Amino acid sequence: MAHRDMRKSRVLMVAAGLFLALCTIWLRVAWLQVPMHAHYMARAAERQESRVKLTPRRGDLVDRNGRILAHDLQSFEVAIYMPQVKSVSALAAKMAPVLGVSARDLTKRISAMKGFAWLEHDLAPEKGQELQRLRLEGVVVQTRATRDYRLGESAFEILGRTDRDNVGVDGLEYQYENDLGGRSGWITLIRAGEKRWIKLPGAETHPARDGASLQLTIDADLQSIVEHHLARTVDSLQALRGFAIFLDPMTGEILAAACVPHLPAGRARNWTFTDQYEPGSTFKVVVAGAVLEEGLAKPGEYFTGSPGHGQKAELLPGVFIGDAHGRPGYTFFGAIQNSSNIVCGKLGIRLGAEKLYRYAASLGFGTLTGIEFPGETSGRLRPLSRWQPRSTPTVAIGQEVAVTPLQLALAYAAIANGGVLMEPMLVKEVRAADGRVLRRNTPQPSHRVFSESTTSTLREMLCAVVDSGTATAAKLEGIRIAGKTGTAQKVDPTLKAYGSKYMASFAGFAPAENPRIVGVVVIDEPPQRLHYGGQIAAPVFREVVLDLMRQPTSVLGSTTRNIAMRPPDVPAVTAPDLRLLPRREAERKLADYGLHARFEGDGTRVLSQSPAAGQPVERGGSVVAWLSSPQDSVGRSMPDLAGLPVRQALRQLSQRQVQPFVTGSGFVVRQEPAPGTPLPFRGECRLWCAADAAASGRGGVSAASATSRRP
Amino acid sequence: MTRLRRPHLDWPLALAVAGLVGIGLLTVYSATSIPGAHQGLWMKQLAWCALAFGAAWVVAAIHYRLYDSLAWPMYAIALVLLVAVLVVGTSKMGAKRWIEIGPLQFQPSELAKIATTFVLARFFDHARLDLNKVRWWLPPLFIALVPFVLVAKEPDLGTGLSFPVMLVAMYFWAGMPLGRLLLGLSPVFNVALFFVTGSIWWFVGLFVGLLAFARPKITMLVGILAINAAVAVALPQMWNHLHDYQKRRIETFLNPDHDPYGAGYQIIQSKIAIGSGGVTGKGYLKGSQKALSFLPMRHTDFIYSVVGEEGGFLGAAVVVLLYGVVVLRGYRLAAVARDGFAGLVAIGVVTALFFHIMVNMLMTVGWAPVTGVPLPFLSYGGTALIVNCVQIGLLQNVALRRREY
Repeated sequence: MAHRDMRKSRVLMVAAGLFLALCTIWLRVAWLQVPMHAHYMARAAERQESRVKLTPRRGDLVDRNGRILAHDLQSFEVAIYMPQVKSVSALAAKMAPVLGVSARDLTKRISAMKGFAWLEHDLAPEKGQELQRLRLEGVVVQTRATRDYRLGESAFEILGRTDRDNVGVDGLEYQYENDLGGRSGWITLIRAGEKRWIKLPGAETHPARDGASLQLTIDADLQSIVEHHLARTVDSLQALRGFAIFLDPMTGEILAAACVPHLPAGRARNWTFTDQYEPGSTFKVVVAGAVLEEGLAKPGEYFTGSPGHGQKAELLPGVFIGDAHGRPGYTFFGAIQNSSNIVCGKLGIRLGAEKLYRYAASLGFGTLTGIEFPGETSGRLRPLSRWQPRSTPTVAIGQEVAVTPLQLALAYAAIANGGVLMEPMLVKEVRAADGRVLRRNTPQPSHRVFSESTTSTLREMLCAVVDSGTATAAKLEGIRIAGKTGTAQKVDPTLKAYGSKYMASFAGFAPAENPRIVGVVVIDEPPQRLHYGGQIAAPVFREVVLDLMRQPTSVLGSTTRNIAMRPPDVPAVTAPDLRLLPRREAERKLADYGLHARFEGDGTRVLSQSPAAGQPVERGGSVVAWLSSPQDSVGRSMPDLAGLPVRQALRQLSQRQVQPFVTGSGFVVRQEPAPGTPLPFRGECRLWCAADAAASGRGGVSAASATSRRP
Repeated sequence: MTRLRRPHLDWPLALAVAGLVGIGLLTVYSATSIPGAHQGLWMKQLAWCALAFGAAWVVAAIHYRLYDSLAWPMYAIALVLLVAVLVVGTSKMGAKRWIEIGPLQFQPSELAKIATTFVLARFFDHARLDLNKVRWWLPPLFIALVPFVLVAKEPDLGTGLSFPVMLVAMYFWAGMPLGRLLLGLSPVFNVALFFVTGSIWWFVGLFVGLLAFARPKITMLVGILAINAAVAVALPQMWNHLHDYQKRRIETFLNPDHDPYGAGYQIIQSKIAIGSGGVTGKGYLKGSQKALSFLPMRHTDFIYSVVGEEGGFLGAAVVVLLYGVVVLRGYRLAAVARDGFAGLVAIGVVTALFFHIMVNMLMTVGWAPVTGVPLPFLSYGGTALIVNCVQIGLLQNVALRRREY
């Protein structure tokens, strides 16, 4: 049958085709499995093995007395992996009691999740461990380190902060990242299942090295004392900001460096190292010291002052300098005591530009101190070649130069310690996690600037300043304080001339005979009515020293014991530490000790106390606690500006580094964002103002705009 | 009829299928042995096996003349079910392929495949068949295209395409001249070449060569040219009508590394699994790609990758060899069948099987787009296993009765 034959030839044809097709697959599989085998093995391994990072523990920051300032706390992160969740409500019911939230809210939150989503980022260890024990399906619990700062906001500008990944972003946390951060390790894990990794015995591991700890030269007590008094002054005066630095004149160790108000983390700077300002009269010690050292004038030499009452004197042709209190003349000693610009300018001219420059440079002005801190500035001391004739008297009175508080403090330390400029020190010791000391810093004298006799004369002059000169506000019973005030006009950047804004400062040391601390206090843009360094900066120094004297042991040592005297027969208790406690808790704590509380200031937490912690108090006596609301001195949220004059509102905002857009003038009637919004926020800040705050109210602006739109 | 009752079972075919089912069971066990959602599925597959062998036995026992006479009613029922599945079917991964009857799930497309085979075989077995005439070659086209369109609409393009492929094989088997057949298929080449090369000129060259070989009549030439032109014009519109996942699969197939964690992931993982198997494989139950859950659908569509990873080239080659035995024995049965209907049924069945085998294997080795086509006899899945065994039962039916007079 022909049909059969045709079929047979077709069967063969198709069979051959089928055979070829199967051979193709065969060859393809062979190609993948034989020549390409190594390639695919490698790709398989790459997808099945994983190096898992082992995170090291970050090192601690401790103060000079071993008090912990910053350390790592273990907390837990919780995530939900939705595909594994069988019943949201059942899961929420199990988790809610552990997390301490209502099951209904939790159900709502979890229901809104998709795939893998974070539920909690900072869960307390005991809660995290309990969740881990529950072993709920679809719930991922893992540990995470959070940085804890024991003193809260205190010392923020020195310590800096870490970011979400616990990496330092500013301050010492940033500067010493390599030491503190340690080195992360890794471990090779084999993937087992979609979400499981297992460690095989003998797997390659590279343990993490925990970070080293830093012991700072900072004294935590002094730091919080300084911050408290600075914040009180800045807040009460509504000044732009304030900063102060205290150090040990013998060693150059920085004991406290405070800034008010606090800036947001990541943008924080320690102004005592990073900001330069025109020092004004506090700089006069340079010319005074140089003249004494060179033997160009005796302290008793008389210089003529103002030619007439309040008139300026022509020191050089065309160069006029005036005094605040134009007196006919001073002795050299009296000129420093009363801060005479005219006499100091004359001393500068007698000294000569070249020597004045040499002494200023020798005291460290115009060069970096080399402190290990991010963003230090060198200040400004122009090279001699760029000095003009008028520069000599001007520099002598602290103008045309710019200094950092640190530089000024070191210069005063040289006067206090007998003439030797010290290298500044912020870190005493770097200690590895296992306790080995990696680096130990010792006080480094840089060089001698003044002789002993020069500095003892200078010290006498500076004591006179406090005793009966411009800084009498710094005077204290029982301790001699030496110092010098400064009131510098700020250069208005738009006018390029001195404007009506001031920088009030005080630099000094105590006790004068045997100096233990040197301090520089600067208040930026105090109000017009109270802008002299002697009026506002010197009292801060005084308060700090007073608080130190009240403590049984402090950086002042035992020299001040007599101050804390009390009748020996009155039974005494030791004052508890109230700092950072909320008002009610502080009250309760005092009650436990049989003491009464007297609160001063507005706020939610105790910032400082008197008598200080550990000091004896008469039983049944009272302890004064200064309160501070984080909103005010901390500057971390939008203030309530409604009803304030626009100028005051702008000042408050500029304290917090917020740039507002102002509509209208007069009083603030509306603000955006609302009071309490945390800073910094996204978007812009707007203020609406009206001439009469009381009449316009909140609707005022919209009503006005509505009328203007009417045809 | 009674003189030769001795069963002429095709033993190579039977043994090859048994071997494949056995390998399939072992591989499903291996693929689902790790802790996870699919653990223990091999038990179910074992139950399906028993059911499938029973079904095959029943199908083989009933004389195929009954199928011949019931072809049209079965076809009608199949079409009704195909329409029904579009309305009341169960959706899985964006496709409605299943009808649920109580606890059982069932794919009407599988029934349609068998019913269409019977109808086409019955049609082509007609005594007066003359494929030169329109009234003889046009109806089979409709018989195959209606279920194709319905199945493709589910959408299940992989299964749907087996209808036209079967049709072409049966045209060929029924005696359609080869040149004419190729000319008729030219629109398909047109589309395929366009997608692969991106240019129309490859096809034009091929088409001219085809014309020289087939030498069609002028009316036919005009018709074919018109169809090809229409296809060329309609192609972009057709592309736009594809589902997103279908487009993605075709794009990914053309360039899998373009999207290694998305649609190309499966192809890359499959190649890594097979390639890392090497010559001798990683050993039974020791496949790490499989065990570590990298391989998606390892117990269904990508089961051949597990065979390749654990059994290496030896295992993979044995499977191909067994499929070769099944397919070639099937074709031999078509050739030696007692009558036209039996031969045509055998051809239809073998073609459908072969098409599925090729589409799945080419997919796992990275040479075909990812279509949801399981590998016959090996993949986990009750319906597919039963239908495949029923198809083997049909082949055995032909074998048993090839000496009947």
